[in-house]
Amino acid sequence: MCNIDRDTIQKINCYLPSSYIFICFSSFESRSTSIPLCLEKQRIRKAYVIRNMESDIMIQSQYSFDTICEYIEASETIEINISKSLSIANAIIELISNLVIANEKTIVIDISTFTHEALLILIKLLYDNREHFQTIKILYNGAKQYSIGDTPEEMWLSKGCRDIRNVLGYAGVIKPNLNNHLIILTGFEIERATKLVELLDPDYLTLGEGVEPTESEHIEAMSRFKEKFADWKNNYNNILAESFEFSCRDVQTTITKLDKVINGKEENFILVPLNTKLSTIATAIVALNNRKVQICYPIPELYNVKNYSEPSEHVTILNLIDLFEKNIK
Amino acid sequence: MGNNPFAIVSPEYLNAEQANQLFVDLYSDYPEVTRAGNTFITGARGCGKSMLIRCSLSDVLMMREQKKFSELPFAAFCIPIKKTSLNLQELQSLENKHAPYMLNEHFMAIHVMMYIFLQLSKIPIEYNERKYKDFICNFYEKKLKGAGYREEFQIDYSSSNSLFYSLYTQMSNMVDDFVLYLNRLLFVDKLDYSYDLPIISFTRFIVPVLEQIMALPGFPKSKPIFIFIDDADNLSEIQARILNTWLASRTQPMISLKISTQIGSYKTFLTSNKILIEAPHDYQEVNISYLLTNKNEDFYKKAVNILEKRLSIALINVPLNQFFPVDEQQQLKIQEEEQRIKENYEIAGRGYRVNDDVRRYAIPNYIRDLGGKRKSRYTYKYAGLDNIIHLSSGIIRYLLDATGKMYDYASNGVVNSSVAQISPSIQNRVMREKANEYLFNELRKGKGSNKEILAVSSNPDNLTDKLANLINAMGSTFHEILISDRAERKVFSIALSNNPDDELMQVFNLGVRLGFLHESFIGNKDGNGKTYLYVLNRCFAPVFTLDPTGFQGYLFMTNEDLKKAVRSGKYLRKIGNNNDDDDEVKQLTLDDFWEE
Repeated sequence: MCNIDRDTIQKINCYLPSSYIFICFSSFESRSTSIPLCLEKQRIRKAYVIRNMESDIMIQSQYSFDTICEYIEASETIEINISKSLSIANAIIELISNLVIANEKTIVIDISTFTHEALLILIKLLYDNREHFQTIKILYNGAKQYSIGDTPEEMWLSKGCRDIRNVLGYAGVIKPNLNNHLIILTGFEIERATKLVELLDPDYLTLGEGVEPTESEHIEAMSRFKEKFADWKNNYNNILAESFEFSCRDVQTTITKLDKVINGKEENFILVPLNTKLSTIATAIVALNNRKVQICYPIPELYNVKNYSEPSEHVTILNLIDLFEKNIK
Repeated sequence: MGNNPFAIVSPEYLNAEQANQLFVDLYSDYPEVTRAGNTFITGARGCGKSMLIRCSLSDVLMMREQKKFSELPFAAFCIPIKKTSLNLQELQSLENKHAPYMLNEHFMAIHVMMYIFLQLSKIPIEYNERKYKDFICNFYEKKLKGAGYREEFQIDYSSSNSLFYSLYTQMSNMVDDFVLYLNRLLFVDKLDYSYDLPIISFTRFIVPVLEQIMALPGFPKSKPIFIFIDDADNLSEIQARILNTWLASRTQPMISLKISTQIGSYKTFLTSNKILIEAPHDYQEVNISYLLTNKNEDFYKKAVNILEKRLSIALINVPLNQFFPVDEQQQLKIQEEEQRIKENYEIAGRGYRVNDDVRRYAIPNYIRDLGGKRKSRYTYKYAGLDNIIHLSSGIIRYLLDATGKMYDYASNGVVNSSVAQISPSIQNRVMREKANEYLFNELRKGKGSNKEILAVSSNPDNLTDKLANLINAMGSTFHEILISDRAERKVFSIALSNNPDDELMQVFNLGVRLGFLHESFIGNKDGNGKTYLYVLNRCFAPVFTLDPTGFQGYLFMTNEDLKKAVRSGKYLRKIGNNNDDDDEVKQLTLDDFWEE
C-alpha cells in the first residue's frame, strides 16, 4: 500500500524529513501560502517558488509570492509563462536538472496550486529521474470551498476554453485506424467538458465522476454537479461509452479505476484530468504506463481569480517514490 | 446512428453508405472544390465543411455514381488534422534549435501518407499482383530507403487492400518512432538532437509516390488527385507555412490541395521562405459560411432539404411544417396583428408596400404587446420551421443538434419510438436551452437584482468580461429597438462608423472566434469605402427576445459609443421611439439600416 496520510495542516511537519528542498507554485489562490507558512523553515535547505509571469496573473499572485518569499528566506524564483507549455517544461527541466547535479535526494512539493499542466510535466520529470531521488513527498491542501460566496448553482472556476493541447511528455501515439476514446475526470467545470467533446470530437466518451472529496464541504456541490452531468450526458448518448466513479483524494484507487477502463481495449485514449491535483497524479501514472494514452489540457479563457477557492484545514501527504514503484511497469 | 433521424455523426466516421444516404447537394455552388486546382474551403465551425469533404471522397462517389474506383473523375483522400495529433507541443522544442521545418515536414508527410494508405486499404481496387509488386520493389522500397528507412519491408501481397494496409502500418510505425524522438528532446539528462530516422517530404516523396500509384492497375487513369486537409487551422504556424509551401509548389493539375479551415483561424499564409501565397495565383477561396449566412433563402432551402431527407430515411412521412408546427395560439395572434397592420396601412403605413409593413412589424408588435416587462415577452415561443432554421444562423450542425435534441425529448428517450410531430413547447424549450448553453458556456450568467442577461462588470480588465459587456449591450439594445416604435425594428448587427482601436478589435475577434459574432463588410456611410459589420449570432434571439426571421437591419456605431458599451455592458445607445429624440438618437434613422 502506498503511503498516503491526511492530517490537519498544523501537524504537517510530523510527516516531513528533517532537511529537504521545497518546491511550490505561487498563484492567485490564497491556498498557495497555506502549506508554506506552516512549514518549519529551518528544515528547508532551499525553496523554489514557481511563478507565472503573465502580467495580469502576476499581479494577482503578487501577495502570495511575497508572503512565501518573506517567510522562506532561502528561496529562488522559477519564472514561467503558463500560456506556453514549452516555457513550463523548460523551467521545470532546469529545476530538476539542477537538483540532480547538486545531488539533492530529498524533496517536498506543495502541489496545491500548480496548474494541472505544470503538475503533469513535473511528475513526468520526477518519474524520469526517480532513480536519483530517495524521498519525494507530495503535499496537497484541498480547498474548503470553491467559487467563494456562490451557491452550487452559480459556482464557477473558469469560463470558456481557448484551446486544447497535449501535455508535454504525454503525447501518446494516436493511430488513425483505432477509435478515439476521450476520458474526462470531471470536477466543477462542466463547460470545459463540453468544449472538450466539441473540439476533440471523439468516437467514445467515458466520464469519470469524482467521489470521496478532499473536504466534506464539497459534498453538496458535488451532488449538484452529479445531477448536472447526468443531464449533460444525455447530449452525448451516441458516443457515451460508460461512466465510472473515482476518488478525488485516493490516488491509488483512481489509478486502478482508470486502468480498468483502459486495459484490454485497442483504442486511442485521450485523458483529461479536470478534478483535484491528486487525481491528476493518477492520470499521469496511468499515461506513463501506456503509450496509447495521450493527456490533454483545455486552456480556459478566464479564471475566477477573485473568488477561486478558500483553503481547508487539511493536508494530504503522498510518497511519490512509493507510488512509482507500485505502479510503473 | 440509432433511432434519432437528426443524430449527428462526425462525417469522418460515416461509412460510404451512410454518407451517401445523407448526401444533399449543398455544394453545387462550389464547383472549385471538385475541380483541379488548390482551394481553401473556409467556413464557421459546423457549417458542413467536413461533410462536403466526406461526400467528395472516392468510396462515396463510387457508391453514388455506381462506378468502379478506376472510373472516377479523380482520386480524393482526406487527411483530418485533429487538435492534438499533428500539432504536438513537443515540436516546439525544435524551434530555433534543430531543423524545425525539415522535421515538421517529415511528420506531416508521414501523417498524410498514413491516411492515404489507410483509405486505399478500404477501397475495392482491381489488383494485379505482379505490377503492384514491381511498384513496391523497384520504386517504393528504393524511395523510402533512399529517405533513410532501414527496417525490413513486410508487405502482404494478397490483395491491394492488404498491400496498402501494410504500407499504412509501416507509416504508422514511423510516426511512433518520430514521437519517441520528440520525447527524447525534452526528458533526457543531456540534450541530444541527433536524428537517425528517415526524412520524407512532399516534393521528394509524396508527389512521386502518388504519381506512381496512380499509374497502377485499378486507379483512375490520367486523372487528378485531391488531397483534402481537413481542419488545417489545427496546424502549428510552422506546419501551416509548410503546407503553404506545398501549395505554392504547383503540383496541380496532377495533385491539388483542398484545405479546409475555420474563418480567420488559419495561422499564416506565408510559406517557409516567408513568401505570401495569394488568391487566385496560388489557390481559390471558397467561403461556405458567407454564402449560407448572407443568402438566407439559400440556407433555408438547403436546410429544408436536409431535414426532409433525414425524415425520409427514418420513414417518417410527415411534411416538415407539420413535423415542426408553429404555436397555433401565437400564430393566430400574429395573424390578427398582420390584419390590423393591413387595415391601418392607408393611414399609418410606413413602407412602400403593405407587405413590407406586415413583414417588419407584425412579430415585433406581437412581442411588444406580450407585456410591459421583459419577463412577459419571454413567453414568446420560438417554434415552427421558420424560427428553427433562422435561429441556426447558417450552421447545419446547430440545426441538426437542435432537432436531434427535440426528437429525444419527444420520444422521451424510448428507442425505436415513433415521433410524428415535435410540439411547439419542445421546440421552444430546445432552442432556448441551446442558446443559453452556448452563451453561458463562455460568458457568465447575470445574477442579482439587475437581472442582466449576462454578468456585466464596470470597466472590466479582461477580454472575456469585455465581450460579455458588448454582447449584453448588443442584445439589450436590439431588444429595445424591436419593441420601440421606430421605423426599422429588426436589428441584429452593428456597423462601425470608424476604424476600431486595438481594444475593440480584440473584443470583436474573440466574439468572432467563439462564433458569437459574424464578421462581414459593408459600404460605409460616406459611400466611399467599406467598413466592418458584426452580426450577432441569430441563435441568441431567444436569450434577448429578438425575432430571427426575415429582413434584418444594422446600426451604425462610433468607437466612442462602443467603448462605453464595452465598459458598462448597458446599452449601445439610448433608443427613443422616433428618429429625432436627440442628437445621439438622430443617427438612428432609416438611412442607418441597410439590408444584409
